[in-house]
Amino acid sequence: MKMANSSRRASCGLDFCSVPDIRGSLQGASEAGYDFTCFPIVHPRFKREFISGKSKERPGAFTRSDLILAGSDWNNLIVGKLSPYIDVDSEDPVVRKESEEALNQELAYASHLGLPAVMFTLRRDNQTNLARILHNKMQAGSTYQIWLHLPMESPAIAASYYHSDEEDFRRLHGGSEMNTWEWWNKFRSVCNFEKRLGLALEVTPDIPSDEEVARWMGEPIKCLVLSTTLFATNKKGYPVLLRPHQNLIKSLATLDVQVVIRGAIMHGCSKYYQQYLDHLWQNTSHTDPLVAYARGYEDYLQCPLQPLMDNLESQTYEVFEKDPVKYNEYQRAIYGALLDMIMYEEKDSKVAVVMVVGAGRGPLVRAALNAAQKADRKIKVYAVEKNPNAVVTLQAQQEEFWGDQVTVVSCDMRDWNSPEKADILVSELLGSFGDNELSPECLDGAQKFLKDDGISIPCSYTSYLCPVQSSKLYNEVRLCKEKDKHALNHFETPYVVHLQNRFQLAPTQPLFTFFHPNKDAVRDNTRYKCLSFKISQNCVLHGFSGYFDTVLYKNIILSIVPETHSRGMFSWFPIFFPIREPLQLRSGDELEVHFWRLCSKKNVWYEWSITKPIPVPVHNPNGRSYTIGL
Amino acid sequence: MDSVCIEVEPNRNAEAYRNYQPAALPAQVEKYLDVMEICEDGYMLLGCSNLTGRFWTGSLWYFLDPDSAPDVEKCLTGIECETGITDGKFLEDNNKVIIGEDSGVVQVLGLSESPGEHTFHFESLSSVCEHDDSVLSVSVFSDGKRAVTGGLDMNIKVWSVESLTSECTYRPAHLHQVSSVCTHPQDGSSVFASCSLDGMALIWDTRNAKPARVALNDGSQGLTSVAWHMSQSDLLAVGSNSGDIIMIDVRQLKEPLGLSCCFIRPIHRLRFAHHWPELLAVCADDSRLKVLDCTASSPTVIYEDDRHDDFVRGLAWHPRSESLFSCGWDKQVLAHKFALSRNKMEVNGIIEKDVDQEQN
Repeated sequence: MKMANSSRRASCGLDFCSVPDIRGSLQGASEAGYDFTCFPIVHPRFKREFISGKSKERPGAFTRSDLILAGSDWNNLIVGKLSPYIDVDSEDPVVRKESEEALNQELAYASHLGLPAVMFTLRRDNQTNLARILHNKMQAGSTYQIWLHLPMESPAIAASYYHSDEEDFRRLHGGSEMNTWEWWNKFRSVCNFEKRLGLALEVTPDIPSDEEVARWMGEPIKCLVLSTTLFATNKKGYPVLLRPHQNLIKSLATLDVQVVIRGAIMHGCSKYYQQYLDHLWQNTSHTDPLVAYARGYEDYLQCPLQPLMDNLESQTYEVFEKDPVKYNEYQRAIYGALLDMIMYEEKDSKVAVVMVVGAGRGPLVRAALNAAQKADRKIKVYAVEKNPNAVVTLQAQQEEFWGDQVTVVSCDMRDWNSPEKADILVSELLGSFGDNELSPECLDGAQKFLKDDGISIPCSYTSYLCPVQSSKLYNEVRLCKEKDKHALNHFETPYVVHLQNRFQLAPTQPLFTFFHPNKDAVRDNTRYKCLSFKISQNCVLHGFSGYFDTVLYKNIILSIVPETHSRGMFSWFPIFFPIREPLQLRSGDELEVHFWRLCSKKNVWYEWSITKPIPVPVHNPNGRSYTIGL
Repeated sequence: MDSVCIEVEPNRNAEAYRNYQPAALPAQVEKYLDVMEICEDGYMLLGCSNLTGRFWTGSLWYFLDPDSAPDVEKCLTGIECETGITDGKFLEDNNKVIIGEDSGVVQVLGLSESPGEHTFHFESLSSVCEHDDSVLSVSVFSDGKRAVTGGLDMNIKVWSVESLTSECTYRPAHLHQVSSVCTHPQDGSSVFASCSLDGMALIWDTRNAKPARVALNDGSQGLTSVAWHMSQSDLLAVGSNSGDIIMIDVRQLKEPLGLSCCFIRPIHRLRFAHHWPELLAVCADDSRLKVLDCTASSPTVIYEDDRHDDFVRGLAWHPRSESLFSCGWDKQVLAHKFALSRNKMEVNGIIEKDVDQEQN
């Protein structure tokens, strides 16, 4: 598991347009507090001739020697910039050829130096040959990352203001060419969403719409490029960003991005920019326990727990018992249920039977006992737990604290024959997607020892679905490929993941709901639903994020749905259902998704498919890649 | 350069190179000659850069005449610059120059002559870094009071030369590097042209709130150089990445006047002659230099020279001796002599071309 990244320092780089003395520049940047620098690989005006003519035989080296810096400096501190005139997509065959050769030479040298990343500015949407060449290099095992530098807003928009015929100018550079996200999308799609291809996103003076910014948030942003011209000067003469830029950068800072400062130093010294960003970063530190708890887990894929099939480990109990919200809400729910169940007059005569099914190490037993005390009602608790290791803990507590009030039952709730029927059945069997840890099946089994007028806490739960764009997650999933499994196995498995680097393509919609106790004549826990999402801007679908909410009792609710998330509750990260191939969606498209919950005697599984705008084969047929064991 | 012979243990070769501090060498003309200007008196300015090797610095040199360049011994004075020199021009009275640097710095230097001794000195009068990337092109308005610069940052700036303050900043002026800017030869202080690798040539008038209009929009090739015709000031020559020269009449921009496929490498610099306004000197990412006759709408090559051993970078017409001078990355300064008889050109360059044959 990844270690939590506790520091909230901005990792800052300084871009140099010319580097007369590379050691001096590197030292200067380091003294000004920067973590890395961006240097040209070859002098930006030093064009080479590769095809013919006298210059092809030009004597001498084409750039600086690697000896000038220590290897570790090249490896850690320098992002190499490709020559700006390189245009491998030129219509002119000579320019194209020369550019290809220059590009190859510079990339080979970057590789030789062991640079961590190579940066190039994307200036228009048609750069397919460049995408092909870079993809080839990455496929062939290049060591560097590619950082594609492009502005959030096309420079054509700002340039058009200088034109007497503004409209005409925009028409010349209009259409999809105006939107730099389209440039990026085309480029990275041709590069097959290559993991080592990242974005160096330049923040423009004009910030695009919130919706467009949200879409950038779903992209693999490696760094934000901030021009010094974005900075205003405060009363003391130091550079500061204007409020809208501050907010934008704070929101992007959650993605663990780096920052590159470029452009003429307008405020005396480059260190003031770095200091300001550090200050900005420190002020983004959050007080939400969820954020603190989840640090280090951002976009990290985990396989969903299967507590029914596997016994949880002490460590897992330890983590989840710490939730500051969940057990309080359970306690409130039990309290409410007790008050409703036993009238004040009966409080000394009537004893409610509370069964905690799946008691684990006992937090819900605690909650029940607390609730009873607060409500001034008498209860008798059965703590049913199938994990013999957790039962040890329950028995210890029973012996030392709880006494006769609690009966510990070491048994699977589905097999247990209870000596009496329960008034309240309390369980915490919910997964990130509500029913995905088989709460319906378990509670159906336990229902036989619930009185006819008994209460189940929770009494209902609903799963939710939302289409998302995240090439980061797509790549994480792609890496989960396992040798001895079905070739599509990893694309047909849901993952539990703390989603960060993603863009929600449409509002979340409810999917499956379960009620307890289940009073249906024939209990059927299979489900099917077709959802339709309206797509409001061009984007890419990489999968669906899943959430749930649950009604514990009456108005007491737990939710991990983004719109209604219980504040501070960290027990559940969302679930992510991938799709095999990214799906390009256009603004106005209707996305039609089908989801099934299917059951056999042994297993439960989900299948999913898309029928609009284009049909996509059903995922996980027969549960071939992923099932949940009963 | 003298070879450095210090005894170094072979296994400490890398450290020796890394820690080697070159002794402060006497100033020398750097390897790559990029800029050349000749003022009315025949004095010459030469700007050069180190584009490879340990230090990427530059220097500026002043010669009595082009024939003595680039010999350091024969220079009147020189000054080292922190970074390479990308372009430069004489200012009014020819005792000041304005230069652009790789670092984005724009600098005005004074040329002072100490009385009696006839020795000259460069001194930096003002130096400002406002471009966000390298300056690529510098041009001075005919009134001598204002200059315009364009750079790799896609920006164009108009400067007041006296104070070296920027009066206008067009950010961004283009969608790719501004490869060249050129002021109008007659209009005193407000009209200039620019071109860029984005494929556009623009005409600017700084008096207007909306100063720019598109003179040429070539979606298929980047534009690399622009020059106004010296007498027919409605004529603009634009050089492209593909090696073409495109002639434009700025009064009617619908259709270019003519086109000459001059090189098969990107054009680097275009220079109209003062004395023969129809002559246009052209260099490219090529060792050859060409002179075009632009009398007809489609320019024709009347002179070609291949004595340079590397890219030709700087071009300057001599105002008095009716010659063209060129410099390049082979560290040579070469003269190209022309003589004019009636309407027909006679060319006395090293490699002569039959004008009639060329036109057929």
